Amino acid sequence: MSTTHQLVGAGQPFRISPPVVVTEELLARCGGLPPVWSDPVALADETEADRVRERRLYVGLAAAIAVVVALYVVRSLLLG
Amino acid sequence: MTDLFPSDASTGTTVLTVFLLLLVVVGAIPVLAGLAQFLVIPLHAVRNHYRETGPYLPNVAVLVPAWNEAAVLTTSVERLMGLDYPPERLRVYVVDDASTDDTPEVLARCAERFPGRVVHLRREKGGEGKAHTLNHGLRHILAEDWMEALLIMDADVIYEPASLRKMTRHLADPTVGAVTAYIREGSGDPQGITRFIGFDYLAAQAASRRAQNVAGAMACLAGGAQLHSRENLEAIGGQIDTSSLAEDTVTTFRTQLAGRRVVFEPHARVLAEEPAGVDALWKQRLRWARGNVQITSMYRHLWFRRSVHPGLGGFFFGIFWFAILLLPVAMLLTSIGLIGLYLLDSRLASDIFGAAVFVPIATFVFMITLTISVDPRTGFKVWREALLFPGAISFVVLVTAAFPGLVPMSGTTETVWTLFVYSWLVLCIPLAYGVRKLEGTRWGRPLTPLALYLVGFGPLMCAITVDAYLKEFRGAAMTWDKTEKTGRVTV
Repeated sequence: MSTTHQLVGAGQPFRISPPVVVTEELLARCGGLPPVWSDPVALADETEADRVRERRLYVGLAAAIAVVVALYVVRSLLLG
Repeated sequence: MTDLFPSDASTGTTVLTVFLLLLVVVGAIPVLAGLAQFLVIPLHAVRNHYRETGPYLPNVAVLVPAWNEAAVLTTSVERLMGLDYPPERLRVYVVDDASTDDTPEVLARCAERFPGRVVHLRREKGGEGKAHTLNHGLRHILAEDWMEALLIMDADVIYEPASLRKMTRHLADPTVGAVTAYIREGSGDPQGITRFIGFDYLAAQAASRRAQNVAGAMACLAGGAQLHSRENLEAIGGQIDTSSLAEDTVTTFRTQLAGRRVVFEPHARVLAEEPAGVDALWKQRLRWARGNVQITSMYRHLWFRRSVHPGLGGFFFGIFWFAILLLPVAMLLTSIGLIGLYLLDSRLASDIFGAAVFVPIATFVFMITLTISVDPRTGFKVWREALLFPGAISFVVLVTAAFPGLVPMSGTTETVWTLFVYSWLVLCIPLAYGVRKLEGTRWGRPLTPLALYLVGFGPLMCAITVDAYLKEFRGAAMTWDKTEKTGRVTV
């Protein structure tokens, strides 16, 4: 964004939500294990895993380039 | 190689040659725009919004417009109640648009099973379209203070359990106004047209929207998965646009023009039921295409003007938008250019075609490989439809163009074949219209899938765009043809 297009909310503190209280009943419904959303660290880990997963796009790029190069080589060989 | 401008050529011939060459070059712009867009996608690995997210779990009101959705509503509500999200922070508001089926009874049962968490809002006068239905719910929800974020979805879509919290984390950043998710075709056993739609969504959502994240301008929040902050909804007037057929796109544009960001979250997955027939698909996509034509006119002050908005008014976004909107025109120009050059100087046309044809072929191969790689699980299911997206006939044309001499031809056969290749870019569009007509005939059921694979899904989309131009030009009535839902989506 350019300086002439300042985003609304820029410079404001991040939004936060109050901590979630996990009741006994809720815990039982979740099979005894605390759900991911009840733990901010687990949520952060989940986001980090998704961020790292995006690196797979490099593999896709490499594969796409490889296929195009292979096609070009085959075409060149066949066309002499 | 033929001399492009031989010394003995008249000025008129030279001017005509340049003009025809220009048509071919202009016609190639969508190919180059597509390539540019797909080259940007891998940058999403570093240029994304994840570092600006936070563990934010607001009170979410889920707004579901429903008209005769009895077949799918129970599953949708159950899935929503089963989302991996704090239960006391999630409420579902179903706006029943004067349904005439069992929708009210189904909703009453759902409200009984989940007291206080499922709200039934009934419109007595229905049939005005989705935007009016949404606005009925919005008025009710905004009148209360409880809602901090609003999720607009369709009655037939199913969210994977972690999807909602993966969307809300982006709203922790106060500059973000709305978040959209990755919608996938959700049939358990996709066949024919739904397999094409599967690939189409993979390319248009999982791949293309990553590029839009990188570019900082989002074309459209998916209608079945758009999460807004309360501040954003209030800033854009607390109402959904009712003047066009593309209310989702208008909301997306308004959000960004009001100074907030729109983010695509590729790891929030949502499954949707899509049309299983050509005619139903035609009606759905015609609505979208007409909506895009309307948006183009509505925001005519925006295109290619960074001073209005740096993302939406940017060169990249403008080219991307018009490359899709004007694709049939580009195909027509290329065809006219090539046929004209052939009639003027067949050798010159052949040389230009031979030299340039590898670019669209390489772009096509690059795009489908990268598209499949962004979601391999879905991609490997529909790789045949990816290859046959332009149609089996186009595929043969591309192969013979890539490997000239594969089938030796000479004389009249070569002339006929060459003219067919040059004109196929345009011929495929009326033929795609024929596929729709074929579906309504006695032999439609067995022959339509075969015809679709021959002519291709891409030409079908182009034919729908042409229909949208014509309907907008004629000022045809804006009807809301609802897609019939059967509840065949499976996780």
